[in-house]
Amino acid sequence: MAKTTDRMRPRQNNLTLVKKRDIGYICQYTTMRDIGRELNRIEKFYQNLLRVYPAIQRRIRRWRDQFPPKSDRRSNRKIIVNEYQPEGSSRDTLKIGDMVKVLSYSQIRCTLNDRGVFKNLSFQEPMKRYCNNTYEVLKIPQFVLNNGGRKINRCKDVVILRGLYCNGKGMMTHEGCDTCCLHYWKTDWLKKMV
Amino acid sequence: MTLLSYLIFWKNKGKAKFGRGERVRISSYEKIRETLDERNCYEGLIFMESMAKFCGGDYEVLKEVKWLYDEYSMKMLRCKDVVVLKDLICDGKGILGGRDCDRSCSYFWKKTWLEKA
Repeated sequence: MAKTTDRMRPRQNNLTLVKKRDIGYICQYTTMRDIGRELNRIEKFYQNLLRVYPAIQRRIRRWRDQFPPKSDRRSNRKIIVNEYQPEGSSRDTLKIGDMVKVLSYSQIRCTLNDRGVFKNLSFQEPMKRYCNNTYEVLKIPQFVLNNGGRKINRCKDVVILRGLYCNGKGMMTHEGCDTCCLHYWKTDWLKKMV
Repeated sequence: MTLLSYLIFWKNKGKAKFGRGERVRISSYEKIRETLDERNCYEGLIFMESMAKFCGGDYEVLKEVKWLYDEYSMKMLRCKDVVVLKDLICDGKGILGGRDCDRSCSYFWKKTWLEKA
């Protein structure tokens, strides 16, 4: 018998992906590809133009971070990452309906690494405007669909606050996205109000 | 930039607009069901079962969706006649088999399913 070569085998990887997509989790998030169409040349050019200004801002900020103010210079931020707990943050278990205060940006920034990430959760630019304000806890996610429905992720110490939508500005890859997702917040960035 | 945006969106000039903060009424479930096909879709947009409880109510418009980021194909997409309403969020019950999905995405609504209140 002739051995089956790689070329003769059916493409199993693609088949499994299609099966998962069609039979598995069906919601508006997983079938987003059917709602819209691909961009034409003008739209692609427009999208690239939108990304220029935030990219310049990002580079300026990265350059400015090399010369931190005196107060930050004493504490080496690279060592602190993932171990530092900002003053007043609550690691207590939060419940749905609790009122919570978001810490100031200077406090939150101490937890972030060079890429603006804390425990695999990024702190995005549009989240800055919600600092120093109180909000209500809407949901405490445990299992979350990710990668367009290919993956289920488990969340830990993450909270969703009511009415804090993403406006799609300052994104790396998708500037001007209108899907209005809700922001995710680590409990270390929040303080429980009594 | 304004010229480019005018070039892209000139097709939508004559159509009904739902601005931010406008009050909108979702039409009844029977009316919406007439527009759906076998897969419960209208122009590719699924009408989920959990959306039925909001039919007939008045809600506020949050945003008109023009650009979408599809995480499956990692591409930006162009969208038409879709609106997001305020505080209408997917509860994700029973989506992951026995478990619930807590992603809490906001629902998409086609303009044909809505009326001005």
